[in-house]
Amino acid sequence: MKKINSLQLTSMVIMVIISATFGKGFYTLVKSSGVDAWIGVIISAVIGFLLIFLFLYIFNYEPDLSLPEKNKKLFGKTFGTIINYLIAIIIFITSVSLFYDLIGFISSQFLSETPILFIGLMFVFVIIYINVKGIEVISRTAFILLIISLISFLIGGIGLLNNFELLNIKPFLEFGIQPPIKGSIYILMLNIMPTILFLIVPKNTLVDNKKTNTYLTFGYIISMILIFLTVILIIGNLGIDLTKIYLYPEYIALKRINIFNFLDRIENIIVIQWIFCLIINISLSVYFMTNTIKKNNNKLIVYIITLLILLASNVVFKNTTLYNAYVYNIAIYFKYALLFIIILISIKIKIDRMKKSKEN
Amino acid sequence: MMKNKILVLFVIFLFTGCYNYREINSLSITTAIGIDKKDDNYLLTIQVVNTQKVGSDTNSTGEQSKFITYETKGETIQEALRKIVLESPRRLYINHLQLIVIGEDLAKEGISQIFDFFMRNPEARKQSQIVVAKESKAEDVLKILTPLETISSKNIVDSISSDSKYLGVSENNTFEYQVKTYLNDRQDIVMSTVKVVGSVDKGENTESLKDVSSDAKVVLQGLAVFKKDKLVGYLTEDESMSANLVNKKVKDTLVNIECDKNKYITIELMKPKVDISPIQDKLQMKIEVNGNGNIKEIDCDYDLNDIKVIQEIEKKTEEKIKQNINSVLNKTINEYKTDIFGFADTIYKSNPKYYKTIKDEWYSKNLENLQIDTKVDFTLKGKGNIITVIPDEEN
Amino acid sequence: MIYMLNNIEEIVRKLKKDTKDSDDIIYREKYINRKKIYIIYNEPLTSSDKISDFVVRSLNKIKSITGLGLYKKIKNSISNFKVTEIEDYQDLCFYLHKGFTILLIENETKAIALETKANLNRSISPSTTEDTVRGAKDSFVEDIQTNLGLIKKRIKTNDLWIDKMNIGKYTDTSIGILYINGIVKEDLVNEVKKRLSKINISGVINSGVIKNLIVDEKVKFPTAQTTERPDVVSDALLQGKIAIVVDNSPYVIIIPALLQDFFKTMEDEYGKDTNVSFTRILKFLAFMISIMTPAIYISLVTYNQEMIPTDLLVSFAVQRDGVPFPAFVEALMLIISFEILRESDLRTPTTTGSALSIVGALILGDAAVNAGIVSQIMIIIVAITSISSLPFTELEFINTLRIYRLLFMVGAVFMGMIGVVVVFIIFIIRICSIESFGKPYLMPLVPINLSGLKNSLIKLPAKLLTRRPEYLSNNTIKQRSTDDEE
Repeated sequence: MKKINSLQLTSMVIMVIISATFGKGFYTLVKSSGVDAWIGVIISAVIGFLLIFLFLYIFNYEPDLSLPEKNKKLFGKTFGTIINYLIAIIIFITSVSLFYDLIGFISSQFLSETPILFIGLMFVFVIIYINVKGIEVISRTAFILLIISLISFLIGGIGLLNNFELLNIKPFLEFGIQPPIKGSIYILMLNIMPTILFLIVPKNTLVDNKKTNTYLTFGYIISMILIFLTVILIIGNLGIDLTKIYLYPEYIALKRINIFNFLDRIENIIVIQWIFCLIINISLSVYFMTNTIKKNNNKLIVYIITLLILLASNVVFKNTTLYNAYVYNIAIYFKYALLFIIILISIKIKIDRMKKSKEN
Repeated sequence: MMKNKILVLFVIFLFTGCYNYREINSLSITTAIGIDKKDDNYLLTIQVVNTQKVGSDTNSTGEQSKFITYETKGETIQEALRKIVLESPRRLYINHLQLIVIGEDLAKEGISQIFDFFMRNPEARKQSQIVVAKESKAEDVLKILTPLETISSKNIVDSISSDSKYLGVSENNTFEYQVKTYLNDRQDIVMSTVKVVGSVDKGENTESLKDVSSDAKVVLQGLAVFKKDKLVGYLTEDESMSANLVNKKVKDTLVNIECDKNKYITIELMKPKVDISPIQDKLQMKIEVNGNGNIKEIDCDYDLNDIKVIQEIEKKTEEKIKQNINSVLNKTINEYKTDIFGFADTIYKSNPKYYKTIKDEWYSKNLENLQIDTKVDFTLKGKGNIITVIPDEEN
Repeated sequence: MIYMLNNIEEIVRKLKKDTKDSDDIIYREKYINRKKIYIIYNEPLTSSDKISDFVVRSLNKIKSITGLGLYKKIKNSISNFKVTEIEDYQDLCFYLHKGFTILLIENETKAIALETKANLNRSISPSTTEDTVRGAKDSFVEDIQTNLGLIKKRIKTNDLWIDKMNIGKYTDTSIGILYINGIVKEDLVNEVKKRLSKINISGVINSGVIKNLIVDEKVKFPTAQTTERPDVVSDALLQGKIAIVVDNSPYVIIIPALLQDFFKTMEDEYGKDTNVSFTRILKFLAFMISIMTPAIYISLVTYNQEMIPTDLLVSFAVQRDGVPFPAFVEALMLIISFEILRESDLRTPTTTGSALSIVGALILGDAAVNAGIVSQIMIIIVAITSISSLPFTELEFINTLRIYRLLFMVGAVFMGMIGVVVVFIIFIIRICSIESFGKPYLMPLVPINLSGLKNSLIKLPAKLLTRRPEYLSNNTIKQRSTDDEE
């Protein structure tokens, strides 16, 4: 049985959490909280600990089984399968919108004349390739891509720090604490909820499973710090008015980087980190879905699921206005459903554990 | 298996089929755009880099100008730009745009349309400079060839950047910054201006480059003041320097004080620190200027080793700076009725609740009633290489 | 088939028939006490000095003996150490072709084979392909015994175990598998032996053939190292790797080989740690430059012109003015011509080699620019690319670079920078999924292994390098220790 490292698992989790910030995460955050978006990030980071604790709780229960198997064990075969499929459908919907994010961004900024379907086909190939190889390749690739992303984030951060103006994030809390809380809910649901993906790996297949909990917590803290820095640097650089009107403010802000008059125009290189994070997120989602349906990577299922994602993202989202409206209003309800399922699972685990300790 | 994958990859690549492929030689690299308005139509002047290879045969007489100018007309800016293709064989590429020149008439009508066009276009880089052509048309500005820089737009851009470093008359603000200020309802825009000095016709051919002192030149002038998106007036050079000082955009500048009749001392003010702070819950602002400086040139016969003399020079400098600031404040607030220093913004950012009460009548009443206390603190640090004044031969 | 060796005449007749009465095989009859003895040897493979010294002289010393003990007497009195008894015809042919002299004794069931091999090797000389500035200059030759000797000279311990095998139906090549017992991992040895035993081939000409048969075929990256130098082999053995020595080949295979091994040379052991780290980082940069530069240039010039500063863009545009080919075709043409130059440089004799390459490189490039076929910047790009691929010693590695370089260029020409990014991700996925005999190719980076990291891309001072990395060896006892601890 091939084993992966807990460090690699953590790097996958970090990339999953950061990936949603680009595109829909940032848009909803800025639209709901305005200038106080960074306060929203802090609030969500604090509340997110509860979520992470929940996830770790489920993770540590029955360390030999992956999440679908745990559900089947907890709820019996039929009900467990229903829950598994529900989770898989919600993750499918999430990955469709993430895919649209990726393709839309590339199509609007770089390759404006290429048909969207073909750009999507390119990425579909990458995702199929990485899934066919298995989870250990996904995790190793995630680790290397994370290192590259961190380096480019560092360069981007230093560049943006030069032009940072504190005045741009004032006034503090003009409309009270309500908007940041609303923004923090968006971050919680859109960024942190997808962390459920790492539950697909049974704990015992990790090489050093003692350290996994600490690594995952550290990974969560690091990713929240990164999101916080991103939000505050972008708003501090562009000002809230510009941020609200741009389509991809995260990308536009990078255009301002001018380090020593030498590293100019490097926004294309630095934005690669977003592409990496999105790809790893979608690959992990596909892996999750294939393992829910059938254990041990069936290649045909991988092909079908990925192509379905491609088709769905083309058909459902016709233009950005629809997409923005969807993300702001509807997407969050799916995540609420996911949260409900997670809470259900953890309550059932608690009941089971109490039953077991009563029997003993 | 690997072969299958490579085959699939290659087939996919074939599908994506180089739709966006564009060779460099099929692009017209635009460095400057001038926009004028004429009978409800936009008149565009576009300056494109001439990338023709100079032939290896050295028999060709005359130099090629390094840029080509096109002119088009259209109802909107985008339409005018597309019409270039009727004249030029290459596709217009505005990513390397360095300068946008706006004609005076268009500026008086309103420039929000220009902002909208350039912000929406993903190819346009928002770090270009935007200037107003004072008492001229944009096409006149762009048609002048200049020595020292092969492309005239680069000349203007570099002038602005070095001017803002050494003199402080124009401000080195990118297009994006102007849009940001414009979108912020609580501050008004200022822009650098250029003006064509001399006869336009003479400046248009390469002959003028060969003269040491050419006839037609493009010169930077004082700032243009806008109210919302319409041009309302200009500032003189001294006023522009003070305006930039208060806006914290000045690095080094010069102050002239009169010590005797028609005799002046020139003081260099280095890296001044300006702090604008509102007084809580009152219609009152405080401007504090702190700076050091050196004596650059002195005409009066003062004894520079006397502490009292130094203090007097400092005091006079402070007064002069204060006078300049007050005059620019007077002009913009009372005469033009614009708020280019963002006083409203400052009040809003520190005290949003109070701002709500004064917001509605800001332009009509409150701006004029705003009480501004200016305080200048200047320290004379150095006198240059000599410690006394070289006297006039009077005896 | 077991032939009884009683009737030696019949055997001689069969031998003559099987070898078509070749003149190379000499049959000499001798009578001792009226018993006939055939001395058979293969002339090109044997040295006649040894035969006359050992065989004939010893045989002449044997005087009158009773008939039954002749065999034993001969066996005991032959003053040659390597004496083997043969029992059947297959073995007889086997030893005959190995350069042994066969003594067929009448009416005996066994025959004697004596080692009288001639030395058909060149002497030990410096390596032509791998060179060090300060290392030992001896390199392997074509004889397996000499090669084993060169290794054993450096590792003098009982724990150096050698397993021998013969592979190849017609060539019957001897192969030695070397490893240090106690350091190497058991399953690695078993895996190697398993793969070697599966080989069924008609002939093994040199070690490259064996290498291709035991590594994973689908992988384009080299997963086994070949070297011509015994110090490299000894160092690898000490780390816990396995060396395979093949007869008739001066190249020894080292298994497993990870990506970091191609960035290391033996110089690293002799140099200061910071200098070594610098060199390794430089090699890594050269690796990246060599793969990605043409692709990046193509994408910058055709898709992403917004990434170049304006002045550079104008300069590119002026240079490319009048060039008839699109950027991709230009790059392809130049790279192909450079590769042709490199290949021809390898094959021309050294006397004319250097002159031709100077002619090729300079004049071809310069003339092409003046003729207006390519632009100047493309010459520089291709030159940088090709020079960056030269710091690596392993030829396989350089060849792999070529494939990926082409793939990157294809990606760049179709989708610009995004194509380069996509191919980059595919490249990383490919590297991450390679395993060399069970060890992930990117050890010690991924999965992370701290003791391995200390000597991979950067080299920490020798005081900190005290343990062997666990992925190669279970014996992580401190290798270098200046204290008295144990």
